Amino acid sequence: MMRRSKLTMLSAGVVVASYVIALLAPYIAPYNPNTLNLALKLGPPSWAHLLGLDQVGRDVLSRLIWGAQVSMLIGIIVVVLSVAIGLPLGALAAYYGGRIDEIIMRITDIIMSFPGLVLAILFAYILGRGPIAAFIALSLVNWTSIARIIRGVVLLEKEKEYTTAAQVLGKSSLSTLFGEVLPNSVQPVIVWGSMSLGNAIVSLAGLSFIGVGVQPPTADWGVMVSDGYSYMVDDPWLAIIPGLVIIVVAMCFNIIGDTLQDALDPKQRREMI
Amino acid sequence: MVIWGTVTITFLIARVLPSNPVMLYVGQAQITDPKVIAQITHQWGLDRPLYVQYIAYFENILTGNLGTSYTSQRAVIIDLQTRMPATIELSIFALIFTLLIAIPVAIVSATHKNSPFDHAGRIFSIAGFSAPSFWIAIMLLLIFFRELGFVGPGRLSPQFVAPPFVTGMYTIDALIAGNLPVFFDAFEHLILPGLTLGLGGSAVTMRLLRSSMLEAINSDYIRTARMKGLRERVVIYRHAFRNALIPMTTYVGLLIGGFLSGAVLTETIFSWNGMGQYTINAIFANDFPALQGVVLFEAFIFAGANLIVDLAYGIIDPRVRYA
Repeated sequence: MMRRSKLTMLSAGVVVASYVIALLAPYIAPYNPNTLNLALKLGPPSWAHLLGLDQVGRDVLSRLIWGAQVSMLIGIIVVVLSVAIGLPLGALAAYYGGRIDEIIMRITDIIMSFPGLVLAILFAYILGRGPIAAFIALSLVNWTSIARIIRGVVLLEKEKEYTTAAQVLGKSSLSTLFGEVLPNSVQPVIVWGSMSLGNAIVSLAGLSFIGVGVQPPTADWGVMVSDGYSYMVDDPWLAIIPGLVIIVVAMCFNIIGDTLQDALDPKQRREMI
Repeated sequence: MVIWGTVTITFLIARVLPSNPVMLYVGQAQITDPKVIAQITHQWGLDRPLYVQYIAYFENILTGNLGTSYTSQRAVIIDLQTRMPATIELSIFALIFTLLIAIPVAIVSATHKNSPFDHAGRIFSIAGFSAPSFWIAIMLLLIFFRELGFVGPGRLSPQFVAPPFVTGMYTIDALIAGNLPVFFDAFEHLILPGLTLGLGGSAVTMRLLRSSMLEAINSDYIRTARMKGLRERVVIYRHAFRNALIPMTTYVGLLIGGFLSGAVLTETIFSWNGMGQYTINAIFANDFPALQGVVLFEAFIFAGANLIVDLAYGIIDPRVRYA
């Protein structure tokens, strides 16, 4: 247990540090991430360039730091958008049941029957490629899972006494839903949100790698791996390092989400008994 | 109803793609005569109003006609037939690796809870879950291909020719043709991409198995089994493991569905001519029929896998049936 909490604290620390780095990128990056320096291309690590230079002479460390901006932002925006779409839909479906439930569930079924990444790539391509397209694409794919989760939770909460009490007291359905039921349904959203933040970063990297996410020459971890892949023979580290960064950050989000889940879950189980 | 929705969305999505496929095609074929362009547009039916196209599309689907690909000029169905076996082969290997990694690790992890191995296993699992598949692919290529001289991307080494088409799966076809060198070569080429997908898939599978095993181990019937005097190994394997398999099977079913619908990123890196690569190429070439066909196909496979999983769950777990 002790090891668990240390690991979680460490993960939380990394996450916070990543956000700080992302916000302060313009101030802490040693070089402009887009400055080319062909004379020094593929240079090894040195004191001037701690992580070396990439294939057109840009400083890798600076690109990593700037890349944090897009990746960390993406996570938040995608999660917020997904929740903004999925939560109301899931809640309404569960609370009112009947036809509304059917319609909403059919829509989620249809979307979920497509493989996620393929759909995201498709959406991003249609919406014009680039980071904004990627945000929207990922949200359009992800809202379904949070909708399902919320629906499940609201279905349970609906049967509890406080909802009947609220209705007896004369509260309108909507007011009950949003004022009473949803605040009690927040826990799974938090767990989901944490894991989703991690997944969003990985998914964005995937989209950028294929070419429908962040467009070069903008610095982004996925783009860096894609670039590095072409130069794998000359300098493998160009692809390895950004990938490691992605993994570490995503892992930290997942560890936090994991710990949250364990912390919140037994409590729910005991309540249900 | 869901099927109809899927078909419609596929149609709409393909139509919403930004560029004009005719323009892309003529650009590549270097045709500039406007009359020819008009002819192609007409031939592909793109000059008809949208709803007419939609009805034609629907009719075609019902008769199993998925249209002709703009880029390959062959019937989409034929294209899919050649691509699908590659994906199936890959999926089989991916499945094998997933289970090969996940099951032993989960069992040891569960039986030695909180040991260093357990902690390492859980971290490995979270890492596998967080790592982008394309990065795993690149890493494996770096380690095995670049450093250790193992086989590279693609389904076969350049000096070999694909065996005569029976199933489309090179390994099986090579065996049928009695061509052992090709068989081994194809087999070797399946290892790295299979491992890439397997590592990713085993991450969650391992966790699921571990937690359900832990639940099983701590339950009453296991205690009963132990009290009956059964050996520990029998207790673990015959009772705990069997019952813990249930939730894991549902997930693995979904995983298979995912593998079969084309692991886009992995296929791209390994130059694997499967469904995933086909999809990506279709998207970038704005190849409507190909795109519609393959996305529809993938959706069906994916949805089919979900359905089978739901049904299987009802069969495997008798408790669900009586609920």
